[in-house]
Amino acid sequence: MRLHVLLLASLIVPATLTAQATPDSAVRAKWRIPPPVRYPAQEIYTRISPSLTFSSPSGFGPEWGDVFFGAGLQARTRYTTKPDGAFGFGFGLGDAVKWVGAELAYTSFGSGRSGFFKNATLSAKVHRVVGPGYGVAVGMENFAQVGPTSGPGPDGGQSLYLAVSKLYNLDPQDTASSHELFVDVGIGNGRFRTEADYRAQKSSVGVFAAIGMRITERIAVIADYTGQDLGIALSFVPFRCVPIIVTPGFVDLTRSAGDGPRFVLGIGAGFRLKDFANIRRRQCVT
Amino acid sequence: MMTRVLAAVLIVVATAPAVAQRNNASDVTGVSVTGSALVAGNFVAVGTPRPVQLTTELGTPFTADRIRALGTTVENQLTAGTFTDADGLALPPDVQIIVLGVLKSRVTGAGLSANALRELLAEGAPGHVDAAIALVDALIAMGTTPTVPAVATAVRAFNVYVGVARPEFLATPPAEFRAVHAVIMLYAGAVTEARPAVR
Repeated sequence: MRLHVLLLASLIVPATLTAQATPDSAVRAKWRIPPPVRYPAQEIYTRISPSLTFSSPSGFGPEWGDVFFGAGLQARTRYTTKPDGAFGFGFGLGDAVKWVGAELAYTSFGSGRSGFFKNATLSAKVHRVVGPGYGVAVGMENFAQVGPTSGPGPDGGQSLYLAVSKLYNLDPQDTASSHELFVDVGIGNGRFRTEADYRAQKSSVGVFAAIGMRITERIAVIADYTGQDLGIALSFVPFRCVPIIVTPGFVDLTRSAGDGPRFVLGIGAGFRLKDFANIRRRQCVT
Repeated sequence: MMTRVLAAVLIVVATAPAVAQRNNASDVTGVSVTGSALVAGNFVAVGTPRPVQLTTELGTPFTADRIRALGTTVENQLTAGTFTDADGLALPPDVQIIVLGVLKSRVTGAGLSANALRELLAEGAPGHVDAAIALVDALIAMGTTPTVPAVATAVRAFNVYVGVARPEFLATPPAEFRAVHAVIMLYAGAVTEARPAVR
């Protein structure tokens, strides 16, 4: 009995005290205004987006402080059943908005059996932002072979090109919208010629074009005509605010070149070195 | 995580029985690795020179415009007598004139409204006149120059006053107090809504 009384008292007394304290604190809490949230000052340089082209060169490129690297895999190459891989990396120079930007890339077409860093080349392009969302670039792929054990060079040879790109925000009322359309057109020789011209070693200029539609913050679909045949791909950012882009796709879809559709896969990363800390904190501009 | 993914990439490439097939453009008929095409989306300049200044010390660069626009709206409502408290309840027009007078007292040079509000608030917090004065001063500063720091100061002054005011005063506050609360709430909301687009 005594125990029951004590238990009852232990329940009632605090409740009474609480009831006495509540009106004062509750009325103050009612009127208090949440302070404005304080955000630390920070700058984020790297836009993280799924890729918007995968075979045709873009009119935009990296600037000083930007780096990129990536690898490509073909499930089989044209007219063969053998897969092929390549990897590369590069960096940017200059400022494409104020002056002009430049991209220098190293590519090893040798991997696996033929050996890493064999059959390697350098490629370069200069690019400039000529208006909001407008970029123009002139470049030369595989302008030089590098490495003491270089092979005979890529069988695609050198390619000089001019690319013009425009990014459209499909939701202009929302500046933070991820709905974007990327249009990329250009001309070039080398691999951008038709397959017939390429085989005949005919000096000609081909037209390439790519359209990338960013449908969500982290997913885009791409149609890419390289001057020889059409490819389509799905590009996505697998990890939020990590600038790694994965792009699986199919090329030679229209059979205007090659011997039928082939599966290809690209995995790349590109960011400004200054953003490494932001990437670790998973903070980004998309 | 990034290291693991890169390791996976290297494994995929390394295990591919790659040979540079000759004369069928095998090296250049897949995805492009001779440049940044694989990450082209990351290097698109979206119209403004980088870097993108996402935040200032408080809020984004757009916050100042937002606060200025809000200030105009609040003044128009107070002038028209259509301003309501935070619960949407109507406020007496003469009270709205007083609050407007406080917000604009440094512009108009008329301090009557500020004095009236100071006295009213001082009565609500006996022994804490300094809190009442600080709140009115913060309101005047915010009304004169509606910046993010001014809003933050007003919020702090208001909360300090709430902490020392009589419970009876807060339980049935005068319309002036409700109006002041609503004004500062709106400004604070404008700052807080301007959350940076860090995803």
